[in-house]
Amino acid sequence: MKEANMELQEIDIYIEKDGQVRIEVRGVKGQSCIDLTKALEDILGGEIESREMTADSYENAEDFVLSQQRSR
Amino acid sequence: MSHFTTIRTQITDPDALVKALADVGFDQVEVHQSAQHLYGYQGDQRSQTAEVIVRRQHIGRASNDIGFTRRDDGTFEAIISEYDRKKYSRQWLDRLTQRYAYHAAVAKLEEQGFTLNTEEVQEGGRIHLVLRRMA
Repeated sequence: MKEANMELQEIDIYIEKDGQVRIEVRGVKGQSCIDLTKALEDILGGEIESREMTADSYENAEDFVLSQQRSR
Repeated sequence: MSHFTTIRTQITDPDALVKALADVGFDQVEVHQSAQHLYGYQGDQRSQTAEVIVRRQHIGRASNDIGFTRRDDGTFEAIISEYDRKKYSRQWLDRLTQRYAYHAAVAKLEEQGFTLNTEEVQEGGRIHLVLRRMA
C-alpha cells in the first residue's frame, strides 16, 4: 500500500514587487521540509532574511494522511 | 514540520534571467560562458564585461548595452549606464527581479516534481503561486 503513505506536499510562494520571496511549506514531515526548499533558496541567491519553523504541522500532516486513508 | 522563509532575491540562473528579460520586453538576449565586452552608444567598446547582454540596438538609439555580470559568489550584477538608468531604473530592476524569481522558482520546483496549481497577482502587485506534488 505505497499510495496510502504518500502525502500531498504544498508550497506557497509570494513574490513581492521588489523580488523578495516568501516560501511557505506545509505538510512535509521532518527534515525533508528544509531539504525541499534548499535548491529553491539557492537559485534565488540564498540570502535568507528570516526563517520560522513550527512543529505543529507535523501532526497536521499526519492527520491529513490518516483522513485520506479513512476516506478510501 | 512547517517552515516559512523570506529571501532577498539575487539573480543566479541565466535561463530564468533570459525569461525575465523577455517578460519586460527584451527577447534578444546574448548568453555567454565567458564574459564579453559591452559597447557604448557610439559603438565604442567599454571596459565592462558581462555574461548576459542586451545589445544597445534592442534598447534605444542613444542607449548603451545592458549587461549582467557574474560575481565571484555566483550572483549576477546589472551593469546599466547612467543614461539608461533613467528608464532602466531601480524600479525596473525590481520588476525584473520579481519576474526572475517567478521563473526560477517554478523551474526549480518543477524539476523536483511539483506542478503549478494556482497563480494570481494580488493587490499591490504581489504574485502568489501554489505548487503541489504527491511524494
